[in-house]
Formats: sequence, C-alpha cells, structure tokens
Amino acid sequence: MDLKKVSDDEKLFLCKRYFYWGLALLPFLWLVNVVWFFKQAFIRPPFPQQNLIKNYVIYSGIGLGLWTVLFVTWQVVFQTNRVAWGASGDYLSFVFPKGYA
Amino acid sequence: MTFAEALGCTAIAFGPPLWVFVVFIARDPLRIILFVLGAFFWLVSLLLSSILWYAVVPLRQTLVFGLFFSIAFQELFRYLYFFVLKRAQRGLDKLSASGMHIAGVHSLKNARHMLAVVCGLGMGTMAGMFLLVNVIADFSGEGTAGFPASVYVANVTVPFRGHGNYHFCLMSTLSAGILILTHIAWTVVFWDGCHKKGSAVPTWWVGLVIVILSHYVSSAISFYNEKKMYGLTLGVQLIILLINWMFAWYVMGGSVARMKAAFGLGPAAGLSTPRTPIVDETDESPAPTHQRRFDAHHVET
Amino acid sequence: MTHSNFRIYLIAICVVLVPVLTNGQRVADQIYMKLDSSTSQCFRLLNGTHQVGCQSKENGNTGIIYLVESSAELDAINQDSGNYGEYIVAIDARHFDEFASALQRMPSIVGVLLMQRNSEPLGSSGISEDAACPNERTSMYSEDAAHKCDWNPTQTAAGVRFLDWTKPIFLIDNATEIDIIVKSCWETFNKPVDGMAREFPVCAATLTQFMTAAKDAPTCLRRQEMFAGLSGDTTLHLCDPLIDENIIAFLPPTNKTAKQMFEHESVFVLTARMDSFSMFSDRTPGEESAISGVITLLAVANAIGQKREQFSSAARQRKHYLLFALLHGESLDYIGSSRMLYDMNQTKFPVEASSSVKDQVDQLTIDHIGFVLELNQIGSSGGEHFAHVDGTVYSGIKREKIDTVLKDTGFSLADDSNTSRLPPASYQQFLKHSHSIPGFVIGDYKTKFNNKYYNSFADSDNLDAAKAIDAITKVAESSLKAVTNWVANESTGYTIDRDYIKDLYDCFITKKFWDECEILKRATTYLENKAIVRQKTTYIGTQGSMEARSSPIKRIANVLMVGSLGEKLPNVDTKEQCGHLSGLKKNNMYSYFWQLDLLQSDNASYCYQSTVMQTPAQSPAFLIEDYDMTSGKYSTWVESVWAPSVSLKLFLRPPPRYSLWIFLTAMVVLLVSMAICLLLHRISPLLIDAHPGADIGDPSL
Repeated sequence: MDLKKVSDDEKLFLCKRYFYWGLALLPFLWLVNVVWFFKQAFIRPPFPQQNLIKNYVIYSGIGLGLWTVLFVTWQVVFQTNRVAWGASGDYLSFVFPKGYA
Repeated sequence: MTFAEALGCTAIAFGPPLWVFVVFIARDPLRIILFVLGAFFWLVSLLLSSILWYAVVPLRQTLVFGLFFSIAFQELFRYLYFFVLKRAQRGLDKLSASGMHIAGVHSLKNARHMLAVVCGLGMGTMAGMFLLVNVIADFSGEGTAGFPASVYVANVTVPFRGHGNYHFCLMSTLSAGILILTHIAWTVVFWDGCHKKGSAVPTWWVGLVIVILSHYVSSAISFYNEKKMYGLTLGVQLIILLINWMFAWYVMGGSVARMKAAFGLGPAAGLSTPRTPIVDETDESPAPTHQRRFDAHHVET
Repeated sequence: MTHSNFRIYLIAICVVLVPVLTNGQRVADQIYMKLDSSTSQCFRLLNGTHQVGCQSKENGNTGIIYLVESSAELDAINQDSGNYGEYIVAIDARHFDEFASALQRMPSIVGVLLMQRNSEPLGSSGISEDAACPNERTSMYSEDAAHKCDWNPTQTAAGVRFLDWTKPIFLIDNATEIDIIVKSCWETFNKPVDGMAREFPVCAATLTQFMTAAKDAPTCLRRQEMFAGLSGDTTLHLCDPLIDENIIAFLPPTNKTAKQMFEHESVFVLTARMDSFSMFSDRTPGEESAISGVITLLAVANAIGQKREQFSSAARQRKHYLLFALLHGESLDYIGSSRMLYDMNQTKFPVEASSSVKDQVDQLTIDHIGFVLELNQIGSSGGEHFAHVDGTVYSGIKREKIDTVLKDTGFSLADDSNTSRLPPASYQQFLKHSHSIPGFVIGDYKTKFNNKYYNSFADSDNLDAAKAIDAITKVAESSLKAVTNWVANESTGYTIDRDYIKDLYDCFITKKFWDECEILKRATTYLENKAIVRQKTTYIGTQGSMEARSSPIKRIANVLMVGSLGEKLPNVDTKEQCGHLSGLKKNNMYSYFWQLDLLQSDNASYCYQSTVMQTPAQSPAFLIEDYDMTSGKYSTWVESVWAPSVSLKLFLRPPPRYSLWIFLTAMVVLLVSMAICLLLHRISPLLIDAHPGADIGDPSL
C-alpha cells in the first residue's frame, strides 16, 4: 500500500490497528509499524492526526524493544545452557548437532 | 596452501586481465558480448581438440599430439572468429549505409584493434581459467605439491615425479597470467595479418607466422617444468609476451616517436592525431544531421 | 557426471593444462597421498553417562607428523608446540599403553597414528585396552567400597578404550604405509637434525574420521527418536545399541508336553564369553581374552556330542540338565548374561511359552540353576589354572557343592578365604540375581591376568601354540569330568578329542583368517557375507539381529555347536526342506541347520537337528521402559554412527608466511595493473593509431 495515496485518517487507523494487533504477541507488526509510520510521525510537517500516530509509533517501538531484549536474553540463556539442560534442552531444539553435544 | 594463497594466486593471474576488462571493456555492452563470444570460441576449439583426442585412441598418451592439435584448433578458431566478425561488419556497413545509426556499430567498424583486444582477452581468459581452476581448487586445501613425488618406498608406484616444490602453484599462476595477456597480443597481430591479406598487403603472413610459432614455443617450453626449470619456462614465456606485444603495438601504428609523444618527450605533430581516446569510440562523434536514430519508439519506415 | 562428460573433462585437463602439467594428472595427486590399504580407526562408543573413543573434526584433524619413541620426544612436542602448532603423533604400537594417557591429554596432539608391523611381535610391554578393573560399573562388587579390583595389568587404569580421546587414532599395520610415514614423511622432512627443528616445507597428515553421536547414550538415542518423530522421510541416525545373540544349547532338551521339565537346582551351566573389544574397528581377535574359552567349551560340547544319546538318557534319569552358553557382549558390561538373566526372571528364557507350539521347551528360571562353571582365559603359557570363587558364596552353605565339582576338576582355588572376589565374569551376573548359586570361574591366572593383551587389538599372536593347546585340553578334560559327573553321574566314557582342539586352535588363532583351515572353511560354507565372516573379529557390533551382519564369531560358533551336538536327519535332502522344518513350528525344542559334516572331507551336506538356539544379547536397558541409563545396573553401550568419509592423507605444508607473501604480491599486482591500465587508457590515443579504420569499409574485404 502506498501511504501517499491514503488519507491521514486512514493512516491513523492503520497505525492504531497495527499497534493493537501487535499486542497479540506479534512484535513484527510493531516493527512494521515503526518503520512504516516513522516518517509520518516524526518527519512530516504537523497534521491533525500526527500526535496520535506518534504515540502509537512510540508504543510500538517500546514494545519492540522489550521483545528484542527478551528474545536476545532467551537466545543467550538457551545457547549457553542447552547442553546442561539435557533432555529439556533437546525438547526445545529443532535441529540437533552432529558430533558434539 | 591456505585460502589466502588461493585468493592471491587467482588475483595474480586474473588481476591484470580484470583491469583491462574494467577499463576498456566493461562500459560498452557490445564489447562485453564480443568478449564472451571470444571465450566461447576458445571453448569450442577445446571441445574439438577433446573430441579428436578421444577419437584417436592410440595417441591419447602422446602429449605432443594433443598439444599440437589443441594449438592448431585455437588458432583456427581465432581465424574463424575474425571471419565471423568481418561478415557481421559487412552487414552493419549496409545498415549504416542506409543511414541508420546503431549503438556500438561504430566500434565494430572503426576500431579493429580494439576489437582484437576485446576478443583476445575473451579467449585468453577462458584459456587461463581452464589452466588454473583445477590447480587453484586442488591447492586450496592445506597441502602443497611435492610429497607423493618424494616417496621412494618399495611397492609404491608414484604416478608422476615432478614439480616437487611449493612454488608450483605460483608458477602456474604466473604462467596463466602471461598466457592471458599473450592471447590479447596474439589476436591483435593475427587479425591484423588476416586484415592485411584482405587488403592485399604483401607482408600479411608475417604476423600469422609469429603468432602460431610463438604459441607453439610458449607451450612447448613448459615441458621444462618437469625438470623444475620454472625460471626458463617463465622467462621464455615472458619474452614471447613482450615480443608479441611489441609487434602488436607496431601493427597498431606504434612507433618510438609516438612513445615519446605519449610521455610528453616529443612533439605530437605529424602524427594522425586522434580526436577521441580509444575507449570512447562508442560515444557518438558528431552525427550528421540526416542520420536517423535507431530507436524503438521512433522508427520511421 | 556421466562417463563421457568425465572423459571430456579429463581431456580438458590433459590438453589444456599442458603448459604446467605435463602428464595429465590431477594436481591433487601431486599434493596428497592417501593411505588407505590397512587402517583401522578408533571409533566412539557411548554409555549412559559418557562418550569414549575417538573422532576427528568433520573435515579431519591436521597436524605435523612427529614420530615419538620416548617420553623425551613427547616433552619436546609439549614445549615445542609453538614451532609447528599441531601435531599428529606417529607411534609404535608397542609404546601405546605407556604413552596413552599423555597422548590423550596433550591438546597440541590432534591425532595419533599407531603403527604395528605384522612381522614384529609386540614384545613384553603389553597393551590392554580394558580398565584395570574391567566391567566395574556392572560388577556384583560395584557397591563394595572395600573391594580393590585390579585384575588387568595396564598402565592406564581407566583403560585406553574408555578414554574420551576427542582426537582420531588410526591403526596402521601395512609395512609399506608404515615406511611411507616413517621414511618418506618423518625422516625426509620432519626429523630434527642435530636437535634443530626442520625448515618448511614439513610433512603433515590429515586424519578424517567423524562420528555423529556425542555426549552419552541417552542423548543420542533421544535425539534420533525425537528427530524421526518430526518428519517421516528424514531421519537422524546418531547411534545404535550394541546387539547380537548368545548361542545356547540344552542337553537333554526339555519338553513340557512330555513333562520333561526343569527342577530346582537341576541345571549345570557351562559358559564362556565369545566377545572381546578394541577401540579399533575390526581389530578384535580376542584370542586369549575370549577365543581360548570358546575353544575349551566347544571341545567339551564336542566330547559330549559324541556320546549324546548316552549322556542324555543318563541325565534324564537324574532329571538333570546341561546348559551350554556362549555369551556375547560380556566384555562391555555383560550384555549377553544380563539379558539372559533378565529373560529368566521374565520366564522368557530361552523362549516365551506359546500356546500354538505342541512340543515346547520349559522356561528356565534362576532357581533351576544348580551350578555355574565359567571358562575364562585358558591358553596363557603359565600352565597353571585356578578356580575363582566368591568368598561369600564359598563360605556359605554351598561350599560343599563347590568343593565336589572342584575335586572333579582337580583345580585349586586362587583364594579360599571369605574375602575372595570373582574376576570379571558372567557368573557375577548370576550371583547378582541370586546370591546362592554355587559355581566358579576357571582361568589361567591367580590374582592378576597373565594375559597382557586383555581386550585389545593386540590380543593376537601372543600365545605359545603347543602350551596353549595343552592348557585348553587340560581344562576341557577337567570341565568335561565335572559336567558329566554333575549332570549324568558318569565320569568315564567321555573323551576330549585333542585333535579337534588342535584344529580349532589352528583355525581360530594360528591362521590369519578364519576360513584358512579345513574345519572353519567347511563351517562357513553356507554363511552369508563370507568376506566378513573370515575376519578375526569378536566385537559384538550393532546389527546382530540381521543374520548376514551379526558377528563372525557368533555365526561360526553356532555352526560348530550344531556340528557337535546335532543329529543328522536322514530323510531331509535339501536346504529348502531343512529350512522348512524350522518353519513348521511343531516344536521349539530343536532348531534345524543345513550344513556340511565338519569332520568329514566330502561335500555332503545334512540337515542337523539340534538344541542349539540363539537368544538375544541386547542389554535389558534398551527394553525396560523409562530405564535410568545412569543407574549402572545394565550395560548401556551404544556405538556412534560413522560419517562416511574416513581417510588418512599425507602432504607437505608450505611455510606459513608463504601464503601471506603470495597474498601481498597479489595485492601489489592488482594495484600496479590497475595503474598501468588507467595510464594506457589515457595515453593510448597518442601511443597508437587509434583509428586504423580508414580501409575497413573497403568493399574488397
């Protein structure tokens, strides 16, 4: 969709919808939201819906940041402890290494 | 050998041709096509010599036989390429005569030596690649040549003793690099000879003889590699390269006076001063006003 | 690549590479020399808690060859490791046990080439791959802290086979290849001259032998099970449990329909193990460790088989039974015996009761067993043999029963105190189930094994044939006497055929391959996969349930047992008819095998009816659901799957700076050629006649 051809009201609607759907554990929607509406929220000259869009973009960004921290932390914990966890580690794995634990 | 060495060897062999390609060829689509075509012609010559080698069973082990015909086929295809290009030129001449301007035709018509350089580089690159790809691939492991040849133990037949030296890969690389560059000169000189025959110049055969002879000498000298006389081989190949380039320069109209002029040591007067640098031939020289552009949107029939 | 494509490719190399390559070789042939005629590789086993054995990295381990003959050279490597970095140590097999732990420990040693010249005896140094206390975890004394167990004289207490090497070890016994390594590689390029390390190029080797399983048995089993569950067509194959079969035979057979059944303490078990192991694939001759006992047991079976009818009827009158048991996988935590006892407890031994079979055998349980006599390492040249008892059993109420049998055999006790401990033996597994079964183990040792090559690749060519045959004959005669007295109450009329022992000894031990003698050549006539059967291997292996792939020793022992104990059926003339008989399922008392008469020399084959059976030799650990693999109760050994690329190649390594030098040169070449090209581009209009095209439009062209 080309944002240029969409009215400001509809932009707000889209931005809002992306944010709320992102609450359903869908951080990538927040990522899309941030990238997609960044220009509208922070760079474009002010327009009536901008404040709300800005809010949604910021909230999405915060959510995205939290998710990133969570994901990175989990990765570090999992990769360093997978072997020590034994069977539980294997149940969380999809691909098993060959030739080493 | 390590990955760095494999990379280095590739760069040594293909570095100079790469820059020739970048500087003289890459900006003109037609030249790229001709370059690839040159490589293709060389491949076809290889295919034919392979078939011949395969067919003549008794001589498969006789290296000289394969060598002889391989070079003969390469030179034959150098001529065929010239022949094909000439035909194309004539067709294009007719097009330009009828007043159509086709991008690139200019270079086909007016810079035959440049064409030879492009096509020669194509042939040479393919030859160099075949020469080197397996060597580099085999050398990209951890070992270097020499161990099997040094084994003298009862009950072990070592297939071939020779090249017991870790400079082997570098020598192959240098040899291949020289070969590629020599192919350029060979094509220039060879095609000039063919061209002069068409123009009834009585000394047309000199260039052809030089090319064919030096091609044979350059390959034959590599038999000395077996005796680990890399210096001799490379030296002779280098001399052949220089002789051919000198000759190529001569047929392209080079002279001491020009050399001086080029380096600002002498007057440029009296020479046929070119209007534009050699590479810019694709740029249009001021087009006559009646010339129509060959453009899909504006074809006038 | 099709054949013809390959030809063209070949010629491309042949003709085009002429300037550098004058003989149409692949350049790789001038770089690498592959040695592959005779290498055996150390491979990985895993149990409930550990991985042991060897593996290389996936692309192989590469190091500079260093020939080690003394500990001084090992020190040199240790201090000198900065010089060449990583080493592949070539070492004479005689020094292996001595240096094993150092070789395993040192991180700069990334691989070991073990050289064993066929012509050279291994000398007196001895190499056992087993631990000082073999099978300690599954021993009946495993919880007895006071028990000092060091039966096996080895310099590596844990056993070299049970170290986690994390580096490849190749065993090379081909003299030519050893020469290449020692002379062409080591002496020519690497051996220090006057104490100075040699200049590059130096000779290096890459050992490739990658194993897919890691950590321990539960991990690899679990992972391959989980992975297989994800998708049907792809599987992850990491490891397989060790499995084969025990060979057993009852005499006389029981028959439940005819009310011929086992009674309390009515069965005499004569047992020997038929397996040994080594860290090296297919190098498990087990001559003294296992085969000496097998031959002894076969000789007893043969003697009784000669008088089978007489023995059976005498035994029937007393309602006594004899059980021959050749057990498999005993050297790796008693796989065969633990399974046999497990099956007895489940009343599934030798087979489960079935309602569809008319004449069927009785199920043997542990309380039917009246005596256990085990033959364990008989042939060593000491000439003296000892009976080993468990002190607790011997000092208990069964002492008299043991003494009776002991008197028949004429052997003296190694230790008659109540602290006496059994050596590693299958009998221990019986005692683990019921601590009142009388019995003893006969061996040629008193407190420590005489065998310096217990469970090792080197357990070969170490016995003195004449003395060993004497020893085996003596033990066979004693055992025979004990057996016939106990079961049939007859001590005369049975004789051990010394020639039979000699033949078997010649076949199993003296000859280089098992089918190089008459009796085993005849025995293997109808076996599948003969090329494998002839190899002297006694390792249990992983695919034993498939007849063609089960271990050679088991398949040959089966034929020999059938030959001794079987009865030729007169009216069965073809292999098909004979096979049909076993398919009938009218009874499960007998099995039917079509084979040559081993003691004749003609080509006549017969259908043998015998009580010889195969029972599974797979650890109960893999049967019991949710078995705790770390408990140490049963054997948990699995063998890792091998990655297919196993190779050893030698080559020269150039100076490490050489490639840097080449790379820098290349960068210079790139820069200079760029400059020249740009310069030419600039001055070419002046340098040459750029527009020679004046005559190009010439119509004459």
